[in-house]
Amino acid sequence: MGDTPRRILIIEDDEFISDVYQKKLALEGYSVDLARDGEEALRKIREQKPDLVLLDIMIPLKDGFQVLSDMRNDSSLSDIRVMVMSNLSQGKDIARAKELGAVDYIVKSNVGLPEIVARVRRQLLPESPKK
Amino acid sequence: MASVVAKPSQGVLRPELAPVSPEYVRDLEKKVRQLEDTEKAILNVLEDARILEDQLRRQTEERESILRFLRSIGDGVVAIDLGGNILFINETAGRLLRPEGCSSDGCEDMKGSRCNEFFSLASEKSPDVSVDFLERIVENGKSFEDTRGILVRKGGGQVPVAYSVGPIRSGDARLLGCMIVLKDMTEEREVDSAKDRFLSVAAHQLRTPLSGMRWNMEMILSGDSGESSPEVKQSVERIHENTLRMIGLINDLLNVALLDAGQDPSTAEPIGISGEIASVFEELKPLAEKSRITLEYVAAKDSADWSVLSFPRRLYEVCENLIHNAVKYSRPDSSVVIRLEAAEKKGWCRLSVSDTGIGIPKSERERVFGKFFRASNALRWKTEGSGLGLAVVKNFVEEMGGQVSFESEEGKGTTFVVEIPLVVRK
Repeated sequence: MGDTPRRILIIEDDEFISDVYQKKLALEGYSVDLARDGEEALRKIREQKPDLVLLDIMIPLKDGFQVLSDMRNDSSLSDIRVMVMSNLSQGKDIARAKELGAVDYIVKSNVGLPEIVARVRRQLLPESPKK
Repeated sequence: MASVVAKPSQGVLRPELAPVSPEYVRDLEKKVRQLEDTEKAILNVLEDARILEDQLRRQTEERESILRFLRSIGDGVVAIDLGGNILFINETAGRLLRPEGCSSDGCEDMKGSRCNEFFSLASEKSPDVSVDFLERIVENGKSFEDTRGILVRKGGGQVPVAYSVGPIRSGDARLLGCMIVLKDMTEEREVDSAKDRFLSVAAHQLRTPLSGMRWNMEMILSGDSGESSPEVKQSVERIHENTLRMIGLINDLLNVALLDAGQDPSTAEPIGISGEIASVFEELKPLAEKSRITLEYVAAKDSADWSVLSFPRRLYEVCENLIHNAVKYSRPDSSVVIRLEAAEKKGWCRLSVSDTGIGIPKSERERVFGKFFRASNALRWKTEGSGLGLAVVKNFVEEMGGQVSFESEEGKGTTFVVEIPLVVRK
């Protein structure tokens, strides 16, 4: 197909984890890039305007919540979908991320790769509205 | 030595005494008796007065020592009359209400003031709503308490407290006011939240390497990392199973630890029940297939938009624990049936999970929902398991306002039934 692949930006400081994501999502046909901390993440989001951001919360320099709220306060970024991928599982963290505009929240250890791929695909369906 | 003694001179004049009549003598005698009686009476009165004074002194001492006892109680004590005025307040309460100006007798001036000039009480669950404690006491006359209360100072600031409010009654049982006992819980709450933070961070740190392991193994097992020999695949499969078990244990421990802490109910949200069941169904299907167990999910037609009020993941945990147990304790070539339907109670849903597995021994049924409990036949069947799953289920379901029960026959199977009120749709 001549379609340009959908672009996903992964924000994850743990290499062991980001390697798997990157490989798996590339195999699924997405174009994938990576940021290791909150500052790099915001820079790349501004430059690339990806179709989907997979955002970890506990990352260096600026945490995921900060990244989310910076994106929300910037009208050029507020439409970009963000799926939070974190191992924080407390209700208050999940509620806070959703309040800041995250479209999905995945507790990493509790979800297998096929399910993650399915949820990424669901977010990238052309017709699905942001919320 | 010759001494001269002056003798009364014969010549000194003495008043001439009137001749004493016998009547006069009798009269005198009578007066003397009267005087003696009066003296006795006065002495009696004086004695009585002394006794009374003694009693009074003792009473005053008693009263003062009672007040002294009250004053020196380590918890705060405030007595309030029906008009809302402070009748008594001890030092600890004084310091809690007005930390800046309370010497040892510094709260005396608060006496007689209206209590709401100094403080109000609220609950941690709804910190902005003051508790009308006096009205509550007047309405039903029963004492009540809140171990997670907040003392709101009118001068500014809040103190986390545990408090109890009880009625004060006169000898003839008339309601006179109420007695509030306050315990400063600042330190306890700090320890609580430190424990929460620790658990949250510990769980996060333990999960991070486990998620990486899980996914890398899933890449190997799906062939995404290239072909591997059947032997390697089998080993990886085993490591994968154990990794999932470890993740499950961390989740159970975290859930149980958080049970005691409670959640802020204002963050509860409607969560679609059939969606959660479907996710669990997908997640557990491979495990069931491996044990040659058929998972069946039967949902009522209109159940797609049924929601219950809960917190993220809690409903998932409930379904996961029940269905996982059913699969775990079933024999190969059997089926587990999950049913979601309307309950008999209007506006409630009923989720049942039935298996034809090993069942729960009769003698152990009462302990099924206890923490760290595993039935004796379950221990023989599968050695692993934290014994926390059903404790978590019960707690979460009750938090949703629902109830959980089960029917079981040893060797024949078990059905767990959860009934939860649905969120009324606007």
